[in-house]
Amino acid sequence: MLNSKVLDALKSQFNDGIIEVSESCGDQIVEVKNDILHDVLKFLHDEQSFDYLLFITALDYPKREGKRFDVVYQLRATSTFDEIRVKVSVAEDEEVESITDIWVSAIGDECETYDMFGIWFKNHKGSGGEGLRRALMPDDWVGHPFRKEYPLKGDGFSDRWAEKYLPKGQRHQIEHTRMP
Amino acid sequence: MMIVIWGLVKFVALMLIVSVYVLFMTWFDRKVLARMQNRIGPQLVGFHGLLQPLADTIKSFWKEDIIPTRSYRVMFWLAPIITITTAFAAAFVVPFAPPIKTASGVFHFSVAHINEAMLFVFAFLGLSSFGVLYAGIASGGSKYPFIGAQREGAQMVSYEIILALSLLNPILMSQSLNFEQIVAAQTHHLWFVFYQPVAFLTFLISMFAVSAKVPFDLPEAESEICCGHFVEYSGLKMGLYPFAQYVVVLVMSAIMVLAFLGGWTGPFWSGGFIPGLIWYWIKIAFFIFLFTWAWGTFPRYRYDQLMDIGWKVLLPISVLNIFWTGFALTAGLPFF
Amino acid sequence: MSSSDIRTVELNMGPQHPSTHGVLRLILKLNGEKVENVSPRVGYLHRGIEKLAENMTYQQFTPITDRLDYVYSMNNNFAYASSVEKLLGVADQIPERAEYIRVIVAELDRIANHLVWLATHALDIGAMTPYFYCMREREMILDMFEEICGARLLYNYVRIGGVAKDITPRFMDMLKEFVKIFPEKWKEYDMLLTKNRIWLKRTKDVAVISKEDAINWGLSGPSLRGSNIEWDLRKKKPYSVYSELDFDIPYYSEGDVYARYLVRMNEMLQSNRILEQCIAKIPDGPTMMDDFKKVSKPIKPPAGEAYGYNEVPGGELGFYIVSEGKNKPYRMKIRSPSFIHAYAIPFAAKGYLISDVVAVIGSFDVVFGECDR
Repeated sequence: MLNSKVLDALKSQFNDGIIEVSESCGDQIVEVKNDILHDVLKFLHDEQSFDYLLFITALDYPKREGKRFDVVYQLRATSTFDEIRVKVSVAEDEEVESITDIWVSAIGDECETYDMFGIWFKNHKGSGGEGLRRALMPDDWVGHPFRKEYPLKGDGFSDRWAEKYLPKGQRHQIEHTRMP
Repeated sequence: MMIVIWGLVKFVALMLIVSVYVLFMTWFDRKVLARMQNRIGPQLVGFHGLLQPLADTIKSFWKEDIIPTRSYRVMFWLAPIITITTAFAAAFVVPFAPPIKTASGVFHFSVAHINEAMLFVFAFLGLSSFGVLYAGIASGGSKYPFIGAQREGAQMVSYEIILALSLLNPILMSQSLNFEQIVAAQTHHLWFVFYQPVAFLTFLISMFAVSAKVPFDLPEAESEICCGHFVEYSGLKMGLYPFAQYVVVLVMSAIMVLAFLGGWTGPFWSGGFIPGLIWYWIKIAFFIFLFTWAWGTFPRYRYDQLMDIGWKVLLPISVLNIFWTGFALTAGLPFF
Repeated sequence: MSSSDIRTVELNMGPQHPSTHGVLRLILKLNGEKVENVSPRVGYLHRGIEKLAENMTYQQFTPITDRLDYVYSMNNNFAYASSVEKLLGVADQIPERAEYIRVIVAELDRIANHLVWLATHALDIGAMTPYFYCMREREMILDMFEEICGARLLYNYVRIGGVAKDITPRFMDMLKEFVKIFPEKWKEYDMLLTKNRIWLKRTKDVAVISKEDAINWGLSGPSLRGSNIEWDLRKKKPYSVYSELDFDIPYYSEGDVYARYLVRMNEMLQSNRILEQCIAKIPDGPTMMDDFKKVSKPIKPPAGEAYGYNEVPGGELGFYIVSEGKNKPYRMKIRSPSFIHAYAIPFAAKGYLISDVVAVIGSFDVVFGECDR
């Protein structure tokens, strides 16, 4: 497991910024404040040899009091194989500092997180210098699909559209056969 | 009058022979490739799929002929026609059988028996790349055809030179541009391949490049630029490009055989049991097979590497080889 | 002509393109043939699998994982099952026979994936014949999978708690046959490509990735091992029974397309070695934990979160599962190697030619079922 040296270093460096340190299923989780997030990740990358970013994602808790989203960063040290998960809580209108200047591999994940949850990453810089944009959905899409309130099923309008334009024999096929 | 009639007859005969050859060639290509790749190949239409090419042709007649709205219509129509016409024109001067001595003179089995046959072939092979260039530009700003045409242009310019330079050696040795006289010169010498192995090899490489076949099929690299210049073409017009390519392959193989491998003369041990016509076509068939063989074996070169090979390796070698040939001929070295 | 007169051409490569391995769209800025900038667009195959997972029970989701990277479905099942087992805390209670069967099918699937990769990669670079040779051997593997689970592409075979069915004696015969003949067949591909002059010219010194870059770009699996990094989760963090098996990690220092090609080629032989040992070592016993025999019985992991990962042929496939103690996951994030590789293509391909872009896409082995999820 993660040796306590890293945690001690983190605590001594950012004593106020660390909200909680916990463990789940053997994974180390560190919860930090949003304003020092970039510094924490840079510290972990530069001084604690966590040089590999596994993924960035977000968790949506619409019913939670306070801030709605958790942004999750999973890091790994390739030399020691330690892993650490950094979490930060953000509200719906809050921005997160981008870490594309530390890890290039964050480009895709930040775009995806923005696309799916609507969390804006400040100072995001893509491969050609372009800014944050939707990764998986079309550019003109409205809404963020992985939010909990986003419907699983298309609304009636799209069904009506299909009825109007599909050839006669195919009309019955568009009905949803299964409620997930 | 007689000349005109005979010319027309020969012209029609050539068209028929070449068309049938192309049809058969597509079948042959697919069958040989299939054998190399653990497959069976066309099997259902006709005996061992022999009628498959015919079925494909009929199908391509009924395909919708799409002309993009942004294309330059005249050029778009003209491009495949130029390609196919120039390819056939190059085939006009190539003899398809040894000449026959008749009572009234010598009967030549080429549509036009001219003394500058070699130059004629070069001219029309060079022109045939215009069809591809036109296709690239006429596609109306479509970028894959444009890149394909760019590649074709560069490839033709660099490899036509090497082709010509390597053929200069047999021309120098036989003192003629006429195919029949080049072959005749090889009957009192050995075949030119034994005098000119370097020219033979440079010609072999540039032969693949000029006819844009694997490993030099860059203008139509389907995995990079999706078949290049004929992206926007469909139906019969698209079919004309491979058609022309097969004709060029035939012409190149024939020139190869005529210039370096003694045309219709058999090897010195053959003793004349087999007629010249059969020797001639066996040799041509071997080179046509070589094209298919390379297709099944090699990956594709990259654009800059192709240019490197052309300008940095083959061109100096060809030029030096010409100097050597000239020196050997003027100094009168033995065997020359 | 001054540099401002030169116009760059913007070329749309994909989503329908023969060599983008699915539906990748790259927007290339070309100066002649030279690529000045690449911008990837993914998502044409987006099906919202992560959202689906939130509305399904854990067992219901197993067949969906097949649809991630449809070329190595067994490995996807395996990775998902081991992640859920990590969340449940039962990773060490899986019957040993089940673990061996998992390793056998995973390694067979690794060979199958690398064969498809080699076939398409060679086809991209212009060599047509290896494609058919590779498909011939892959056919044998698919026949074996058909024998044990009835399906040829989407298996749903490795389940949470074990495997769906025991393997049959006929499967073992086929496996022994395959393991015996595969090295000979491997030599055929090797002969066609490895020392081929044109192949070397096309792949050597193309898209060179340094060690630091490879880690920073998040590459994993064979793409990482081509850059002089000896990193294999099977060896470094052994899961299942990999610690009892003897195999090497092939890795090369050049960091170019050719190095990644060599890594994958040699991995096939190493997988074959693992299979040989598995045939000798596989014990008798049950193939499923008793708790999970009934699929209708809901799995309710305790509240918590786990990130489980496996070394799949494309790289590191991970499942980050957040549970709230219900029978459905609260959130599931799939860490797909293809997604990260797709975003690394611009950095690798910048400054090379169009033909090299194709080679780079092939050398990363991106598959879009997994990339777009």
